[in-house]
Amino acid sequence: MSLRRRRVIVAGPVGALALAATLLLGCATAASNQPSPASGTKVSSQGPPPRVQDCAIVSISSPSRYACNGKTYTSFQLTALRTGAKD
Amino acid sequence: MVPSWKTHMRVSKQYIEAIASLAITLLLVLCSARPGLAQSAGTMFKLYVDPTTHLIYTQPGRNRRLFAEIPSSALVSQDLEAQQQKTQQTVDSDHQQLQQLAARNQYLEASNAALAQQIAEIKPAWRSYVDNFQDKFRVGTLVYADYRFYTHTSFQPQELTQITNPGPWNDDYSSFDISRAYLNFFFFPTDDWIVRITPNIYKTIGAAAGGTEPGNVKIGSNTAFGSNLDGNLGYRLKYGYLQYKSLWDKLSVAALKGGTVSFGEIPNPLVAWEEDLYGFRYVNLTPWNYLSLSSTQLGLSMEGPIKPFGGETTYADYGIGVYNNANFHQYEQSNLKQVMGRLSIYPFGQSWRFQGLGLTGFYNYGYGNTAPDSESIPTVLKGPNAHITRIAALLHYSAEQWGVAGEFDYGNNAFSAANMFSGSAPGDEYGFVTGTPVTTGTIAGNTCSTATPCYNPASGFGAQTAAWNALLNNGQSRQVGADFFGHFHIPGTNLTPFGMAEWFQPNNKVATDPLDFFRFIAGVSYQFNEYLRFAIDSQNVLYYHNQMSLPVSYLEKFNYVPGSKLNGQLLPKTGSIPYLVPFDVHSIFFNAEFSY
Repeated sequence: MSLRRRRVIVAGPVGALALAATLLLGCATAASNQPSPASGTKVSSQGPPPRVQDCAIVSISSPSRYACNGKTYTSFQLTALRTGAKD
Repeated sequence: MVPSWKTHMRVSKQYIEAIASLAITLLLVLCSARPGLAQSAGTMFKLYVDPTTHLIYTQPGRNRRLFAEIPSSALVSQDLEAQQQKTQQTVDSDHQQLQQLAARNQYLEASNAALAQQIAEIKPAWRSYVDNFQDKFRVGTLVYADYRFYTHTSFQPQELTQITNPGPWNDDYSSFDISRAYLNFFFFPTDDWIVRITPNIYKTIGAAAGGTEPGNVKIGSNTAFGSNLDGNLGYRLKYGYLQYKSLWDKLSVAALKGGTVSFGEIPNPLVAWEEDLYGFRYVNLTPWNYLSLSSTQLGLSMEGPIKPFGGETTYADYGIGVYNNANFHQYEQSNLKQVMGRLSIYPFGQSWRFQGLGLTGFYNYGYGNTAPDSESIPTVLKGPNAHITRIAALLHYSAEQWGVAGEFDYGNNAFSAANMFSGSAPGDEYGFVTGTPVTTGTIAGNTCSTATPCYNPASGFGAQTAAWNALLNNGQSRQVGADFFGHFHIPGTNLTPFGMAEWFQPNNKVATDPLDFFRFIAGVSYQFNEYLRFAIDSQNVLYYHNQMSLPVSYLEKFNYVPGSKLNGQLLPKTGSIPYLVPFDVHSIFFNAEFSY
């Protein structure tokens, strides 16, 4: 039993297809699930509340923290902003 | 003179009035005496009237006519008095009862008021306890789960904590895993102090299923218990420390306010920081963590922001500490300790962590986790007793929608065979002979027998394992690597493509090291909500050199001992050891992160 060299440049067509499908599915899902401000999202006088997907992760912990529009929010605060609940 | 008809009318009028008044009187008397009437109804009292004089008589006489008959009982005053007394008694009794009820009611009202006051006095204390508990305690969790499918398996470092896989010739292997399940407990007894306790899941590896000793336990002369560790998901302490937050406030050093001092089982200055910079730790490990540096040690550390110009703008942050040489799940054997330090500079300032351009340097100097009596034994090459150095230099830029980083790594003795094979190792690395031993004749300069079998360099991985250990564990190895990672959020979607590439030379003192590898991860993350993320990604390790052999004479320079024994079998004494480049690894991962 000998070791024969095998080389695969990428994870094969399965991987490529999976990535492409995810990309397309994700875009479609995101487009359908996330209403734009014009289609009914509550908009305050300062503009729409930040959405977690538009923020930068700055700390993965309990709770995680995100930077949005130059400010840092906890995941709980972002939920409260999205749902309109008081934090 | 009054006319007679008028007289008659007056008489008649008087008569009628008299009759009426008498009748009313009698009616009243009768009504009031009604209860006693039936008892003495037999005796009647008669009244008579003289129509001329209108006088009433009790006896009949001339010109007298019967006027009325009255039951005698109705005229007995004693009955009336008795009835009145009885009525009065009833009224008095009712009045007394009313008074008693009023008194009772008053008492109850007073008791009620007292009880309400007591409750009012108790409630603040109860609420205070809950409020205090709520303000001084927080619990959370952080869970990483995955499903992975390997199109090609091989030996490799682990992609995620405690994630292992079978080696070569196990293509299409797949597994569901949980690689992290923190239970984060934070206590805030005062504003100055934090206590954190974080148990974390880990996969126990024992010897019940496929192995033999030492996982199993022998009891007495004739009894043994099989290991129950293999594959179990157990819990162990990942973090357990006290943190003081007010050192620089107390010392009035404004530029360092916000810095902390931590003691216990703590994250080191690099790994946790870089995981947050990368942002996709739930998919794969960051470079030095993947290579060898555990995220957690026991020790004492300080970290915090630096704001030299006042205000809230941070221009640097730091982390420095002294730690055990053992990591958090090892016993500390050495009598020395290791130090680590990281400094990140943000020349243009930052209003949130990682914002903008940053330059980071990390330095670590420590020793192998070896007991002093073993460390003091003179050896040609120090092997695991040698010092360990890790250096990282990063240039990074972070925006809210994207981030990119480049890293240069340098180390000494910082990538051992145990690190190289933490995800999947040849059996010979851990005491299990692979391949077919040679028990007769000669091979690779050795004379073989049943009592002294020889490794066949072309069968199994015994000779290769010995060569790999020589290259990695000689005490003089030097590591060089370079890494790039980044991400970009697709606007208007929940999708963020991300990736990491790592080029690494485990020992660049070897002219052509068969273990040199290139690792890359590419995937897409989907942010479901504030707490949940998913990713699909491809993870690969490419041992990029062409298949090669190394002469025994060359390996000898790296602590290989020709003709020595490994797992009771003789290792090649002469010639070359072939097939030293491991297979590549290719896999697809589906990852999930829940953070709360």
